[in-house]
Amino acid sequence: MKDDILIQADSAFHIGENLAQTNEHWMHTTARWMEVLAYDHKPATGLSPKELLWRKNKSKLYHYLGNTDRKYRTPVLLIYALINKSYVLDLAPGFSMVEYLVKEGFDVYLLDWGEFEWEDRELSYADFVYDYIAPSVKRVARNAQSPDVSIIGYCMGGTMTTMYAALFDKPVLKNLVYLAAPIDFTNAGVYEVWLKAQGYDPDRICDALELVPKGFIDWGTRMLNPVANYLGTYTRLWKTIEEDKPVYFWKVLNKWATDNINFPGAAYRDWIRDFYQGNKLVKNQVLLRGRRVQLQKIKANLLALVGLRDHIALPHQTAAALTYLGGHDKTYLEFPVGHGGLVLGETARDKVFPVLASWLAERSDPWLEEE
Amino acid sequence: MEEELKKEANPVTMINPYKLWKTLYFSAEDALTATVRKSVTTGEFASGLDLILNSYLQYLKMHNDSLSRYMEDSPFSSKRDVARVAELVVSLETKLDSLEGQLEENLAEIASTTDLITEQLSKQPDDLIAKELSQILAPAMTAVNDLSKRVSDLEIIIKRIDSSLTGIGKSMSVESKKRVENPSPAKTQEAGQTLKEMLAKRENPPSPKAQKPKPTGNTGE
Repeated sequence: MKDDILIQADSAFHIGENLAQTNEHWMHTTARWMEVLAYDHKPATGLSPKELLWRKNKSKLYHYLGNTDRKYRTPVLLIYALINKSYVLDLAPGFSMVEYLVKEGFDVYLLDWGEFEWEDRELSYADFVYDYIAPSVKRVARNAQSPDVSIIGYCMGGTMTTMYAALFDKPVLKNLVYLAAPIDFTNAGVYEVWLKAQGYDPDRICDALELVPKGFIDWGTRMLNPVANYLGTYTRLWKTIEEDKPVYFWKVLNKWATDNINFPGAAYRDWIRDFYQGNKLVKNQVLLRGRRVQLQKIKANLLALVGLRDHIALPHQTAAALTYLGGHDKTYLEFPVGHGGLVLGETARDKVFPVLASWLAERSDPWLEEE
Repeated sequence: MEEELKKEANPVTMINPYKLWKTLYFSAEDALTATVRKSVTTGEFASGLDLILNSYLQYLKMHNDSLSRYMEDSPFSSKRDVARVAELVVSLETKLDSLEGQLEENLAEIASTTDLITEQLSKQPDDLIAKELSQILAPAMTAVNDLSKRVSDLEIIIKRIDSSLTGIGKSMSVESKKRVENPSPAKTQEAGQTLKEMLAKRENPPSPKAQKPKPTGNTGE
């Protein structure tokens, strides 16, 4: 660091020359920085080849197609959260979980929630589980010609998958993978303080907003770490340009981080009241259309992956699944990343995806050609 | 001047103000990030935030309610009206989807059942047919076997009769030779005719047509 700060030269002229060069470089950096922020097109995302298998309302069930031969009969369904968009799971070539799994010979599917509008404000978790997830799983199993499936639930998608898994036994859920999915909502970090505060009333929010706007959700997420999210994101870009590093990944990440969706009011009310405030999931108190969600009923093989620096779903919130779920084959792994680091970035590509694929491979039925 | 400066051989060291500023700025940003992050986790911050939020929500609710009342009498369709139409479309789509789902399930069930039947039939067709046939034909086969046994019994009896008749024929021819020596023509001829008739009857049994029909119990003819 000191070497960077100090300039050593043969003469004052060379020092002046060096300073002039740095000044020019900074001018160029700042110009390019402004250009990236103001004019640069958003990079293309979700590029893995896919076909639309089913659609309902704004949601779409995609089936990914690959050049690699299928090796496993058990299909893999990815279920994403209701915050931001699901293309983070297929962010960019070389940095895509979907691409990696397809290359490993898995039959991969993704349930994309789409963008909720005013008419969707009454959608609740019961609707998502019964009318969206359950039919999707059925269709996936049928399309893959398999009696069982594997589900990867990311963040809130993992929580929703848990509710599905406890209520539906067919098609058989063979493997369940949590990626930073909160199951136990005690000691939930900043959310614990904010959402359990005396003045925070989800009913009041839902009554007034009905459809919780994407700006509100975005603000809530960014305020968890305001300086880093409102300022650090942009200064990091400047630093990246100044150090002559590629900005592509920053652009991709920034596109996803700012691409939020509206949150259905009824589901928001459930999420805050039943999960964060009531912690009803681990108490087996969640009722969906009159049926109780009992975690012990879930017998699937379990893999829980967490980020040690995650401040949205803290590691212990996911680790609780190992205690409450009913199966025997349970694995828990930690990675030195934040919430998004499990699906994007170099750690995800080099460590998380290989671990995930090999765990699934060991627990998936092989695909026989005659099938 | 430039040449003079270049000619200076003394090495010079100084702080790069740009790099210094960069280092200081990013260090300060990191420190600020940590401090602010710590402050947002406090109950006071959350209470302050809720105060602002609740005030805004109160205003928003009032605004929305008054706007809704105004839109009820307005000739223009409101966001709610458009959403209602969208909800109807979504529910229609749900109905179609459920029908499609049921149809797909039924078709899949039919296909799997058909496949199962075909598979089972193709696996053991000969055995199954043979089993069924043997079951059906079992009484007939028993009857045939019984008949065959009776026929063979009859054949044995006939052979015995034949051999005994041959023996009788031989003994009678010896006797007739003796009688030729001491003739009693009428008896000899009678005995010879009877034997011939018996042999002829055995070799050529009378045809059923030639037999006189026995009277049946059915008198209604």
